[in-house]
Amino acid sequence: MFNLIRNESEKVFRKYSTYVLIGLMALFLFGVQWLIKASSGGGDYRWYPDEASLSEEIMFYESQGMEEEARVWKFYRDNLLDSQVPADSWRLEALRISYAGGDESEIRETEAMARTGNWQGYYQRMVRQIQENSEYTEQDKEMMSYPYRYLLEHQLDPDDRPWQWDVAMQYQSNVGTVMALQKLEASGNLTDSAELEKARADAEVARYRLENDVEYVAVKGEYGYRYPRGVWDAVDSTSSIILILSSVFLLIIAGGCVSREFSSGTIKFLLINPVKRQKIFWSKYLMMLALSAVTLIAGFLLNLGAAVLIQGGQGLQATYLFFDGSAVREGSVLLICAGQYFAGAVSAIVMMSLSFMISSVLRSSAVAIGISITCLLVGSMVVEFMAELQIDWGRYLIFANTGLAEIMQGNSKFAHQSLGFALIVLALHMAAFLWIARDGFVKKEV
Amino acid sequence: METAIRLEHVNKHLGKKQVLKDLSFETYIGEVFGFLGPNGAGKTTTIKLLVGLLSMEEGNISICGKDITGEFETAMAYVGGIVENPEMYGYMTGRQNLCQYARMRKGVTQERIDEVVSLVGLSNRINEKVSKYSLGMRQRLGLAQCMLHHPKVLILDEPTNGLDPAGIRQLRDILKHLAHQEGTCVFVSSHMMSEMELMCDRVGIIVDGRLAEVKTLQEMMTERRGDSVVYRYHAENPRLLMNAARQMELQAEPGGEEMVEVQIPSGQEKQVLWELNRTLAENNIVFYSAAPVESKKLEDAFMELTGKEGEQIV
Repeated sequence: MFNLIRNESEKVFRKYSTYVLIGLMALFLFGVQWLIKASSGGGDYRWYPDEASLSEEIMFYESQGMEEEARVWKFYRDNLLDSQVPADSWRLEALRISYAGGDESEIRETEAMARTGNWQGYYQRMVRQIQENSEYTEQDKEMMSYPYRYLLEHQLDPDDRPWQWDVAMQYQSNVGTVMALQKLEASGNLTDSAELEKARADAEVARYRLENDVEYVAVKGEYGYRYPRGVWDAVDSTSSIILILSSVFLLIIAGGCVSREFSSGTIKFLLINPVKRQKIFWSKYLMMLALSAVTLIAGFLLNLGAAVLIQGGQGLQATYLFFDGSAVREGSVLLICAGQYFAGAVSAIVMMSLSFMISSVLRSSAVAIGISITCLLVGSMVVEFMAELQIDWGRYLIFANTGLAEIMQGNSKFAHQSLGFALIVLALHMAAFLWIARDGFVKKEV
Repeated sequence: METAIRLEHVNKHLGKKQVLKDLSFETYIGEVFGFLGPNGAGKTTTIKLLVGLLSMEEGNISICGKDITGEFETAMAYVGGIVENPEMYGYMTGRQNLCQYARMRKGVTQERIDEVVSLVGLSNRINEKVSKYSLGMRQRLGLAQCMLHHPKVLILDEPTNGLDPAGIRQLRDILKHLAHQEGTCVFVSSHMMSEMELMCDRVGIIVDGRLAEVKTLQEMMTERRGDSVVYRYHAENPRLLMNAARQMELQAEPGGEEMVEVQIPSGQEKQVLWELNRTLAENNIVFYSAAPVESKKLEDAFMELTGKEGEQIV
């Protein structure tokens, strides 16, 4: 059998066109990565308003009756214009809070700090206010003041917008959510305990990041994993394109696998050999499986390599953080990313088998390739359509079950589609494909 | 003699048409067996059944004692064959193609490949892509592919197709050597009667899916001749000569202008000729030359047997 598989792989790799396909794919891959880099622009865009836009803002808020908001912008116009202070600066937020709830002395103090950019003073005041608030428990105080204490300790000017500031503010907001939900829970009004769990987890992760100085991080979100900017984001967003490319490559080769032997007439010589037809059939399919594995892995690695090259390795050292209920754990971003990719790779194998089957039964490469490419590109659309129209038996179609990653996260197209169900549907389809293909090949009169 | 191929009561339909009707015959180790028949008689179908390209419907086929349905792999290990045109993987070289087949069979070494390649005369071109080969080269490569594993039975469908005269002679020599010296059974189907005449030991004729005759080559040809040699006399007066011959109880027919064909019984040629010539001389019946006509060819025998001359294919 090994010799047979070796024969089959020779038939693929001695063909010029195989390499043309590979070359095109690699080119496309690099092109996509380059496009991503080119479109991401340089850094975050921050808004430094000019006089005209300020007047607009002020007029707008005044017309809406939002006096405090207008006052904030007026302050900016009068004090911070042309000062290279961005519109999302901590200063404006501080003013907002003070205008909304503070007394005159506090407002004046805040304005002074905003004018001079005295963020240390401002944060120190925040910490003091939290400490003095008797409503909070000690534990609450510790958590609420932590972001500010951290920034003060590490001398991080918010106007520079260091990554720690974003995370610290995230922590602050998470803590606020946790406390609010806990209050609801205490009074028996909490409807969704999962929300509380999530807020807690987010808070823990944010704190962990600050304490352990983890700048680049991947986390699990509601709709999948979120990757840090740079290499991992580029790889993740191109994953599906790479999968489609690989699928097309495999489809084309699988579509010619059996039918080419017939159209060129070499099938006669292939079959006049002391080898049962069944063995020949399986050797072809096993070769295609091996080729699929190699292609998919190579596709992922090549994509990763291209991303590292083009993104300059930004974010490559990221960690995956998750809260397991008791502590924050670190995981491998590579594993997560690869896992998502290979979960989607199932569809590539299925489409390849479909193409192989059509090639075996109809002996036409063109039909095999045409039908499978159409299914690949259109299949998922059709299923979405069916889901929207509430056509429930759509769940039994192969296309509804190839998005294993989504299903594992509970975002399947149809309700109550478990991973087990999807795997069974896939297995049945594959068994049917192979049965039909094998039957067609073994019984064929040449 | 050991049986190489045995067919017993083989029936086969292709679609609705019954192509083979109760076909039974045997071939033996060490002979060159010619399989003849008009177009559409079922030769290629038979060959395809022998090598497993078509599935058996009714009847048995065994090769060297092994049933091809029951013991396919064992039976096919004895067989090498070419069916219709030899098609190879054009984008690979001749050698790579041969390696493909070598891997599927047991016991084929690189040396054997080289041996076979030189036997068919392709040593200089074996490392070129097959897409650049001429038809004759492809035919030779096909033959090489058959022989790689020292098969006991060689099954060839129109092997002389595309070969130049040197190639045809070379092929003939190879096949006869394989059969007579190495004990292979060479089963050849062809239309080239002149070639078959030179090559075959026994001949089987299939007409309309049925086996018409299986005879040795000698039997096939002498029968038609009826055991006599035809001499053609170039005569001054054909009628006179004819009468003279008939008086000697010899069969004589006109054979064209000024020609008479006299049938001289073989075995008594010298005697009879002497008598006839002396009679003609004594009676002043002048003839310019007398020479034996080429005996009836296999082609004629074939035509007679199949009774078809330019008819529509069934």
